[in-house]
Amino acid sequence: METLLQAIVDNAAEVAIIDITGVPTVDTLVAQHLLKTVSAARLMGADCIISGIRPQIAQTIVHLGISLDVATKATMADAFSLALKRVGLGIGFRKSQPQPGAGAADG
Amino acid sequence: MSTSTETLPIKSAEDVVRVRQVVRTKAAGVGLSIVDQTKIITAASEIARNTLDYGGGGEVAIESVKEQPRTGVRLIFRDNGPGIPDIEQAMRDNFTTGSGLGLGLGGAKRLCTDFSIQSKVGSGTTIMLARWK
Amino acid sequence: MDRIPILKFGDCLLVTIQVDMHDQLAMALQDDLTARLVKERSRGVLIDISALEIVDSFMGRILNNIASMAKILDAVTVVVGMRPAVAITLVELGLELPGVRTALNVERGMDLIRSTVDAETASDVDLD
Repeated sequence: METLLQAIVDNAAEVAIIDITGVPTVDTLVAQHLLKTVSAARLMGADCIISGIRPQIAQTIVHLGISLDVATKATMADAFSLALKRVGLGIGFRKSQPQPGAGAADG
Repeated sequence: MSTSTETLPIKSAEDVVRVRQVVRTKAAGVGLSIVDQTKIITAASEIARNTLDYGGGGEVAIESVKEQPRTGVRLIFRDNGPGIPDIEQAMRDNFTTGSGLGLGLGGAKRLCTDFSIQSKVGSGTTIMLARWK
Repeated sequence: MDRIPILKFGDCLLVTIQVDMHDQLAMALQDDLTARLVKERSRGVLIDISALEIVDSFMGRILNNIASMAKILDAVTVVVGMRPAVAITLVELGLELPGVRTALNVERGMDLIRSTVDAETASDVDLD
């Protein structure tokens, strides 16, 4: 938790993505720790997005009755896209340049 | 093996600030991390304010402990106030008899590794807080 | 008695807390801020707490109160620069300050006040 919060300060990061794809199970303690991290980041002025929640984890969270009041996305890519939107940026093809491969299909 | 103790009065709001400062010095002195320092200073601030507001003032002994197997700070707050009739109720979050948020006792306990409270109605309250490495 | 200085910057009030405040000083800041808000007709309050090493439940309550009072006086409050250790401790204490808006630093805080005030002004116009 401290490492993430310190990194938010060091990078002046408005958004932090917490990807838990590699986390096989979540118990009450881990879920609470996650939520405390999100709350602490908010107090510092940063938003968190949680990505990569496995189906079992979603079930556990609901069964434990924990309310996960934070933005969640299926994948890291979705989370990254939302994060860019939050800071007013986006990724896309430039209109003036031919889109590699996709140009013909697009007409 | 070493311990050093400093006893401070808690008679005014300025004394509460002084308690925070001495706890910070002791906690940093024994090498507690910044987060652990912040937690014990905050807990000390909560209890010192309780001692002042509800206990009618008192004193605190602030002790830095460096002895096997543990290193950290231990604080003992004493007052000769009215005492707490129902400790269990007083420890509960959102319970307050004053104007506070009612997070003082329960909140302070969560910030410590050791916490104990003894109170006798009519003769006062003693609270021990400690944060170990 | 000592006072925490309040600076006026356009239609905002700025406060930087640089000392470990005792309770009466924090109460005085709350009084001074609400008085200045009315006097200057300010739309925003920015409170920089980057120098604060702890925020306990009393100080947390003062921050919450200032935000609520400012809201009644039609101003938005943003608290900036809370240290990680302070944030962790507040969450552990059970104080998540839901009524207080936050930003990482003064610059972001001013941006947040600006965009919030501008959005409110725009919606006021819509209502007419």
